[in-house]
Amino acid sequence: MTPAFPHERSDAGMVHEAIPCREASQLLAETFGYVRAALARDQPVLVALSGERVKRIRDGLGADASRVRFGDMSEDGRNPARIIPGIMHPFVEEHRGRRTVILAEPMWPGRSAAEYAAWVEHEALVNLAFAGEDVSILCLCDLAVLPEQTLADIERTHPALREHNVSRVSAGYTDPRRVLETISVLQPETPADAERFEFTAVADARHVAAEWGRRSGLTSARLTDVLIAISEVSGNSLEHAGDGGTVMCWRDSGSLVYEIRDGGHIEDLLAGRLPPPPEQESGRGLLMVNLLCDLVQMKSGPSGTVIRLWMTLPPS
Amino acid sequence: MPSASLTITWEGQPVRLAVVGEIDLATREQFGEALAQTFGGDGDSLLDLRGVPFMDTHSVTAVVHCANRLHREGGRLIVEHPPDSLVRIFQLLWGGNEGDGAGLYISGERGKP
Repeated sequence: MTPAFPHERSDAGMVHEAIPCREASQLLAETFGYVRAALARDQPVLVALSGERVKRIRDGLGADASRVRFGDMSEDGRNPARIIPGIMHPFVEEHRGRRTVILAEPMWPGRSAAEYAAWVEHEALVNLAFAGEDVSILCLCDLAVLPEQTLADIERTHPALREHNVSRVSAGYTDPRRVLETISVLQPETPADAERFEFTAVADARHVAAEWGRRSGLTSARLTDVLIAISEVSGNSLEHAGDGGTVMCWRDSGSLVYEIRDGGHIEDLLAGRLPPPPEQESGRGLLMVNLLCDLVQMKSGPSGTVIRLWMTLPPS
Repeated sequence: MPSASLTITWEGQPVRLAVVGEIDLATREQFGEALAQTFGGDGDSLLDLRGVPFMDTHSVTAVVHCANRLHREGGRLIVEHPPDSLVRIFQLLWGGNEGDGAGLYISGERGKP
């Protein structure tokens, strides 16, 4: 039997599939099959899985491993909003003109509820970000170790599912815009006793945020990241949302969370996920924020925008 | 009149531009104009940032684009004593892509001789 690999067809456009699997060994076997089929067609392959699985794929491929790009998703994709701009899009861009194959494992046990919501958002946005692109994206989901609702969320965010090397249409697939409306991105709630500062200048927001970070023990390298991220978000507030905004800050277990609120409305669902054309001078602020932070949560609508930046604190 | 502004001085041969102040939304226009008006043509252009504690993504992009322009004109842009934010932004947005950073040379990182 010849397995149906949609990425055999060069005119297939974007293929976004998931392997919902309860057997780690079967997941691995299907992954090998997929990678080998892509290599046989001389397609550029990126394998961005979490932790141990990267090593097993690399070892299992033997000499062919040198033809595959590897990435550690648990490090580079810790912030789900970073996966498109920091991992997937650069690979597609680097090989423009050729069909690329990306294997990703953005969800793993131990991720928080906030990260889970950001992951579902990411999967929905993949369908918009790569619509019409010549790319095959396969997401690995080890259902045996993931939360109960994972299967339903995979089904509604992936147009196709793969089992035993056969691809089928996902009956539960839902318009990404509809999916985004259902996700509670901003969790947990903003605490009542959060630090709070109303700003009318970027420099003021930046200096106050850095002082909070310093007091909470962020390292100087991370403080540089805070300076940059707060400047981009508060700059958007002042440039697009009128005369100011509010910056807040609190601790959530091992993280320092900053929240910026303003009255503006960011209508581009892919803001911060894809870069502007190289020659354009503006439009990289939110992209930078997604690359810098450990988690970014954003909710925008006609009544205003809330953006949260999570920075992991060093172990005390 | 912006509430925040930069102190900008320049001298010729090689052209050196020195900036004092933080570069963000409030000052980026002034900075961009200084880059455009001061630098041009072949030879070395020096951008002295020892008086700049912070730069945002937009202003770092302006520096990269200025360096690309000088590169096309046969020159190069040497950035002296950049703030940590420039180094971080440059590394994340252009670090893996030499073509886009053409003509830009960074010397004397903060805290190093």
